[in-house]
Amino acid sequence: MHLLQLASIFPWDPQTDSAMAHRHLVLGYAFAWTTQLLYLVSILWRQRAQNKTAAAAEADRS
Amino acid sequence: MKLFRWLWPPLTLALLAYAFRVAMYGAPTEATMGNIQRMFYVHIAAWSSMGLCFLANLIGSIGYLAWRNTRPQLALKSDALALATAEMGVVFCTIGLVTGSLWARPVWGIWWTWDARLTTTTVLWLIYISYLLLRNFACEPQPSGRHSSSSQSRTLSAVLAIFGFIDIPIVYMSTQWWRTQHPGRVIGSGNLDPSMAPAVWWNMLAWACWAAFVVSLRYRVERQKQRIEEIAILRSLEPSLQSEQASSPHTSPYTQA
Repeated sequence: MHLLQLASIFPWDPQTDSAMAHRHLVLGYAFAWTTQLLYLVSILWRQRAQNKTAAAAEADRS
Repeated sequence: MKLFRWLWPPLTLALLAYAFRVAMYGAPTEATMGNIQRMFYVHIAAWSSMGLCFLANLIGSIGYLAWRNTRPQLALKSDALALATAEMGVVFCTIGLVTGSLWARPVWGIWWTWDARLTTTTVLWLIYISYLLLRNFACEPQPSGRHSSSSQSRTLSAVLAIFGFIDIPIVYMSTQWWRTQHPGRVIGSGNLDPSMAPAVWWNMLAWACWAAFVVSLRYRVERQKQRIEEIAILRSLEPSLQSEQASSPHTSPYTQA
């Protein structure tokens, strides 16, 4: 998603907020959720790899 | 329990969506800082969840040290909890540092300053990064060809985690103990404006639920890894046990004079 599309859901009052402040607010939330989702994906990836290892070990045993 | 496991993710997502809505549109705009102050709701939620994760890491580490010789299965469960919460805690700590820096640039005019709060937090981040490095690199090759944390590295990590946790109260109290540029404590000090309180509490609750969900996933992956390693070790011992039995089928080495 383009960052500008995301920016529209964050309140911005040009009377009090600078463009930099608004940009940083969007970046803060984007960073927080990108980092967490990447971490979640890394966990799911490891889970998938381990399921394969477990299945291979089971097949080897039988 | 199974129903709870299925209900937890949608409930967490609903809570996160509601908390975001309250933070963006429910809470009033701060008079001097403007809307950039709304960064505070993600910032404080990350810190509170980090505190919970590192507390669980402390409990898991103590559990591992207490049970490693007497109840190995319980010790391994504690160790898996310690690892899962340390990783999640580091993610939250990173988010806290970055969001704080992004907030500081338009408000203070600088990205960073070495005041007591920021310095002690950076030390905290480094302690838990070294904890994860110790766990990942102080490991030994297993018969399966994989690398696993040895009991020695688990023990060392647990000790490091206990000492590392000492930094948490120092971080929390730093704005009171030293003169800092960072704003003073909000939670537990009565400085929270009542109109902003719902946004703070809803975000803290939603992020804590999210943390519990992700930690539970990571915990299950680590437990599965431990079981795979146990099976690999048992299988590597099978040939030597069989040859031992074949060479002396009726006598045990422990009963021989």
